[in-house]
Amino acid sequence: MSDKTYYFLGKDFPRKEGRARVTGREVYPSDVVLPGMLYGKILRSPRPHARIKSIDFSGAQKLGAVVLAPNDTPQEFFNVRQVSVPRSTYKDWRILSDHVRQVGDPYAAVAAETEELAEQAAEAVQVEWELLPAYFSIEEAMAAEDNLIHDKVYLQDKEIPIQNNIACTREVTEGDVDKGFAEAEVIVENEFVTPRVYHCQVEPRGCTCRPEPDGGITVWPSTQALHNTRILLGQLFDIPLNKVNVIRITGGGHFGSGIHTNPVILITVALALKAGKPVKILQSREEDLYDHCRYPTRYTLKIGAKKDGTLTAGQMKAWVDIGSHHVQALAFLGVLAGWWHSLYRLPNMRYQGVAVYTNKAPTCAMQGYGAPQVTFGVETTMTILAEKLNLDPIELRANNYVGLGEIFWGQGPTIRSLIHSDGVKELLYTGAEKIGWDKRPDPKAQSGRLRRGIGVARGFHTSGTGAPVPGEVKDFTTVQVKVNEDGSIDILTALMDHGGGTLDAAAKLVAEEFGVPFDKVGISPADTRSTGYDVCTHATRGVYCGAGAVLDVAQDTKKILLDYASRILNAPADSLKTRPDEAENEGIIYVEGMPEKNITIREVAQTAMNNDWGTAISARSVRKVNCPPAYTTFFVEVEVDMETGMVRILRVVAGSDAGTVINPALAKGQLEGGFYRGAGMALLEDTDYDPKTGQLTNRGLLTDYKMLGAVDLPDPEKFEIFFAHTYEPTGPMGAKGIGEAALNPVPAAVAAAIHNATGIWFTKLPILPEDILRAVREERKRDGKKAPGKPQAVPER
Amino acid sequence: MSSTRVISVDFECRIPRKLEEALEALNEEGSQVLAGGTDLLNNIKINAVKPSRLVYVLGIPELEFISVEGGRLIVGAAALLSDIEHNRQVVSRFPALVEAINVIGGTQIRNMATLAGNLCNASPGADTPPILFVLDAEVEICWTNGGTGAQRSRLPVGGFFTGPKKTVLKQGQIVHSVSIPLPPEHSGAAFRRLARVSLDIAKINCAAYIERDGDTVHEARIALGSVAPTPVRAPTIEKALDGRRYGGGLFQEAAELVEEDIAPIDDVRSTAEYRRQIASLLVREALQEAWRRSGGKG
Amino acid sequence: MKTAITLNVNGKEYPLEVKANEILLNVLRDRLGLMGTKYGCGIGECGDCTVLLDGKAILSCQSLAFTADGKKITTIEGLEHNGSLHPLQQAFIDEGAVQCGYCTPGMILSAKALLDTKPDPSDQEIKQAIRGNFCRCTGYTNIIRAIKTASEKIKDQGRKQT
Repeated sequence: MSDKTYYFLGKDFPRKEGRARVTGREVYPSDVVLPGMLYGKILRSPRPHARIKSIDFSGAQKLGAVVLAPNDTPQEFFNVRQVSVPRSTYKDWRILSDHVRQVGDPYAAVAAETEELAEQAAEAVQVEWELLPAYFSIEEAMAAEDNLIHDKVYLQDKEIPIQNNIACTREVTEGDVDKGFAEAEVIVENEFVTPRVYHCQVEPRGCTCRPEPDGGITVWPSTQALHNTRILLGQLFDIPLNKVNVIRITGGGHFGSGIHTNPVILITVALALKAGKPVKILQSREEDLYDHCRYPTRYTLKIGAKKDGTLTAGQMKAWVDIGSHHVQALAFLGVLAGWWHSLYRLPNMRYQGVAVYTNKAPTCAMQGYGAPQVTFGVETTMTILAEKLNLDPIELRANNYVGLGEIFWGQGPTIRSLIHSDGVKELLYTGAEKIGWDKRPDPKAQSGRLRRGIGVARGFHTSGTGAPVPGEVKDFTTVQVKVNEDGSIDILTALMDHGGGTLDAAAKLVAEEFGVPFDKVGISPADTRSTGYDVCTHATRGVYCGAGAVLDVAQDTKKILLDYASRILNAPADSLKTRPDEAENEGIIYVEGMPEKNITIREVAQTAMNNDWGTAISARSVRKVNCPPAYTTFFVEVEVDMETGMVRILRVVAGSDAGTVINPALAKGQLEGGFYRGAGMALLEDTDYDPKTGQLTNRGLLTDYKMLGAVDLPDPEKFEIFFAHTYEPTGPMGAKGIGEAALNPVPAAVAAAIHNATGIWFTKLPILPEDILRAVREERKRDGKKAPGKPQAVPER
Repeated sequence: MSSTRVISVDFECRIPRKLEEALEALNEEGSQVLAGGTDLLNNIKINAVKPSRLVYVLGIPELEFISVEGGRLIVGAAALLSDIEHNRQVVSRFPALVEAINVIGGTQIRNMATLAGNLCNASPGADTPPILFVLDAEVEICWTNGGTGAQRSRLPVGGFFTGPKKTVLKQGQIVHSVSIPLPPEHSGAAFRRLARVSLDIAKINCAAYIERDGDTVHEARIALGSVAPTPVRAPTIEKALDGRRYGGGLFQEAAELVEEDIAPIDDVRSTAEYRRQIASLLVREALQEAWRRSGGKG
Repeated sequence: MKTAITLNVNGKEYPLEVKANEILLNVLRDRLGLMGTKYGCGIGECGDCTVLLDGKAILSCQSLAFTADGKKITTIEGLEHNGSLHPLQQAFIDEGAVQCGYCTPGMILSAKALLDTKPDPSDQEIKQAIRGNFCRCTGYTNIIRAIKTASEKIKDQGRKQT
């Protein structure tokens, strides 16, 4: 939030997509219907690890189905995620393989005239399997010496041998860690475990593809990555990119599950090309649950500090169970180090990360991309440290956080930029006041069945992955902005909006820049043939990088417009200003200091057309050379039932440093939504596998993948949200991101609140009532009849 | 892998207007009753059952009623959960039944599903059986032998379940109605449960019923769900309470005996250990509330 | 074997021949082209497929089409009248209750069933009424606010009309 006043920024307008979405007219991937279209069905492995000995499609063919076997698809190795540069990209995927590596792994597909017939055809396919040993834990997987999940993978184009199912490793060292720990007067070390959360985007992933007469394809996918999907399709199916058109279509939620090109897209295209007809595949919910999930982590974290609270050294060793495939685990191992490094000043740090294959669903980005995982351990450790040092946890944070003028690692160790805006202290102190931090309960003084606790945690997310020196991650957006002949404006870009309001923000920035009413700015439908490259909407880059690029290009276009206006008004272009005239519904250009000398943008555009001056239009690619941290701080109040272990969230105070807030209601919505998903990660969400069958214990049914519902969350008035008064000088009109920052500290804040209520630290998520009750009872046993008080998991040193 | 998007198995449907027609149609092997469909359709989609014929019983007038006769509340098999929970007689006389129904699914499910269906699905964790147990409910079953009209028989709800997802019903038999004696004066019943979230199947549930005689427990009945292969009564606790005077931690003491009556397991929703730990708490709370509702002091 | 049925959807009658195994959701979407009703889980957990059947919220993914014969069905497409939005639709836009929007149709219909019988619901009643509708984006707060706002508006309209 900044103190500047704007025509549109910081004010709420009905979002542009609103009407379509409340009337059922928005077209999602599920809703694409084409004449002559077939319905596809993916055949998925019932076994966790196996090879196809034989496959018999005759039953399906008898039903008239088109069938697709592994050898009908290109057998080239690739990676579904193309955000990283090629030299850092591991490749272990094929579209269909006869070596299946998890229950649910695709091995074939069929297409038929109805979904029901496709289902029947799929059931008629007979497969004989050669069973292979399957691994469901990091230990089992790393103990294996043969029958590995992958026998070979490629790094860029070089074949890499795989040993003990280790997919990749990464180490980062700064300073002298041994010396740092030697200087420490207090050391805290714990092991933290975070869950395999399922994205559960409301719409299961799907795709429709139409083969075109010229050998090209048109594709309507669920994706966050339009151009990366196009590039991968062109490469795999050997189609020139000018014949691969991927259409932007609103997805029913993503949360990171569509940064990579999901297998269903590749299989749909392969089936459509084989059938020579349009094919649509919509995953069922159970297929979707075997398709993607959040990276679970297990790590030891050791942090040393002096008595005054100065941190001296840190060491982290992390293991990540990545499941059956590599969706760029190397990048993930990098961000674990990066987020950790950027939370608090650590002069000396050592990080080791190991990613291990198992026979489970592949893991991929999900809101926060490693930050909620790392923030959980780091923030828990900071509060434990504060208690050991007898310091206020808020002061310890305020004295150690990485802020203004320091270096921020925006996407792992290779993306580094200087911090130009920092509202951290405001978030900490204002939040503390609002929640009543000074009056928080003393866990040792509480007795009785229901106990209250207040917890704090802070964090951030990067705003995009730009930096002065490019690193492992691509980051730019291409935009065209043009002024139409009636003075309205079109924005054309492949930038995507996942519901948070990215495109509305872009439109507002353009309205502000041009001084035209908000309604006059339109977002054009986009596809990959009409737009230039955009890396995708991930890494909270939508507003800062994406809408920022739109603003930069709008400024180019405005220059052309003002040049035309200067010819008409007979005044130098740099003396011209613009303002919206809401009553006339026009944008006005006027001479500064001479408001009576003015003209509408409509008239300028028409004059330019009639005089053959041309259209005010420009297009280019924009790369942001910074990645400012968007800080957040959450204060959470809970009530713990000591007899059942049930946790009730009573109150939330969330502070966000997003720079200039463009869409207040939508920004607030981001924080409320982020809290809800973070609290779910803290208190109940996880996926587990039955090692006997290799199936998910929830069998892919939402009956047993539970999320918090409206009834389980506090009433709206118990959510208090505020924004720091900051202005990001490198951002579009002072803005940076929010998105992922809205979740990152939440699990840690919930855990801290539970600690404040019970006196017990929980270092494994989710914190289930079963875990709480067990810990409370153990504590009681240990203390005899005494009520619980002493923190449990704090090691003495 | 199954698909919850479509039903790929073919079956025929019957939409009888009369009970007897329905019963005739159900006599054929492979025929199944379709009421609200909220459990059956899931089972068909995940290939747990493959019926060849569905006989749709909602809309059969003989099954679509909620009435009070002969000192009993009688709920027809086609009565919807939402109709039951909003029925004035039920609300005033059976608040604990209303509470047990109200936690089932969302509004939409209760607008579709039936009480009979909740019983026939025979989930060990279903929410209505414990309260029906303690209210001494009976299930009326009907069938036809062909041309002889509808045959009926009644059995206590406790005898209805034979295992997880299993009941006494044989091919051709359906539940006609569930009946519950109107509670006498000085009695009270209560329902308690714990689940992961508000829209969920119970980790454990429990119902208690008390008939009070002054300040003594004249009769107590307790039942629990999700702690054994079927919903179960807790006879050990019931015996311990019979004729006992209220006070002195009576309910707590008795509730702790629950261990004797349950055999919980680990599953995706919770652990055996946890279920054991909280069973006595839920029983105690249910007893306390039932006592209060019976007009008892304390 | 097909059964002849008539679905009355948003006031319009559709005579259809359906197989016994056809799910109402799929008939609405694939045969009537009413794409506002969504598939989310297929087993009655998410509420994306909510429609009103004779005014009551039900799940179209858990209904066989033949059982809706002769009943009145309202889908999200039936809420807009003569180009003007239902107060709930407007409030969902105004309160920022729409993010990705995929759950919105089902959510609005559950809210409509509530407000049709209880014009002035409390927060608790709203939460209970949408317990069977799952939203992954918003955290529900703006949805609850939108339903409250709509209830105010409907009451105001009612007062003006009488």
